[in-house]
Amino acid sequence: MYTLICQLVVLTGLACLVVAWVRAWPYPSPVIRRFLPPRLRWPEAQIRAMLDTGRLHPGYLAFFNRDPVRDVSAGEDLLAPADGLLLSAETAGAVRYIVIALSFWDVHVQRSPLAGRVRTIETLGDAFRDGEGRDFAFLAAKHCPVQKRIVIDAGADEIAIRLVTSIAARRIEVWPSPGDSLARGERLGRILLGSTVVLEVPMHMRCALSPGVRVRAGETVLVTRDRATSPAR
Amino acid sequence: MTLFEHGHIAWPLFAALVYSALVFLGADLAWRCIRLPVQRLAVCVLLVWLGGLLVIGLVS
Repeated sequence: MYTLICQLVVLTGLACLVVAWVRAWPYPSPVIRRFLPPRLRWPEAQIRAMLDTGRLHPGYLAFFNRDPVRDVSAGEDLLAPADGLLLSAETAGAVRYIVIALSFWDVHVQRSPLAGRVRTIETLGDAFRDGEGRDFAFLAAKHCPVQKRIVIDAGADEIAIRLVTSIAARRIEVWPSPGDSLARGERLGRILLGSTVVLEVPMHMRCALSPGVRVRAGETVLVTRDRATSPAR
Repeated sequence: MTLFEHGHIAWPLFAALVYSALVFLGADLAWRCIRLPVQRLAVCVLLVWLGGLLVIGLVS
């Protein structure tokens, strides 16, 4: 009798796993999800379906909200402010716009590229949809972007980081306040289901990487200072 | 092949059921991870499953 009960327990457990597999189909079942790399664990079609219905899977939310510790190296060069794909390094006027595109699977916590003091934090909401910035490719392709622009004063240099998201997601958290000091690689904020981070730097700073490269916030050296043309401190 | 013996599910049948369920779940994992033509992958999974059943049959 004892053997039969044990057998039935094992078979019931396996039946539950098979039912979970059927319910999750065509997406990965909870059983195998942990063994899959992020892009296979949370397929894009599943994420888009969750966004359409507004019901996000708790497992995906936990994955999306992860905030790993980063090994911030010492140095004067600017670190990447976000995880993602380096999309472009456009120049307009005296400003270099370095655009990083975040995917559904990237860490969405942004970090300060350099040590400095927060000068201003601008909120550029719905009124921004047809205004300044539309000339840039990184905004032209987006539907009604919502932005936070954080200006950091680092002595002789002033840089800005734009956190851009769509009007559908429209939630951006910025953790420091104007006047706060930031360390290099310190956490700045988070885009909730957002899309793009733009680093604005003066012309004497050069993008150290080519478009198409993946970068990691607080770890990848993204911009180098051109010391010959850099203003004296 | 008997389904029950000594008041419990016969061990070969029990082993075949457990093994089949595990292969079923493992095949899903392989299907998503391994980059092979669908037909080749299906044949591989089927061969693994049949091989396992054969071993269970031989052992019991």
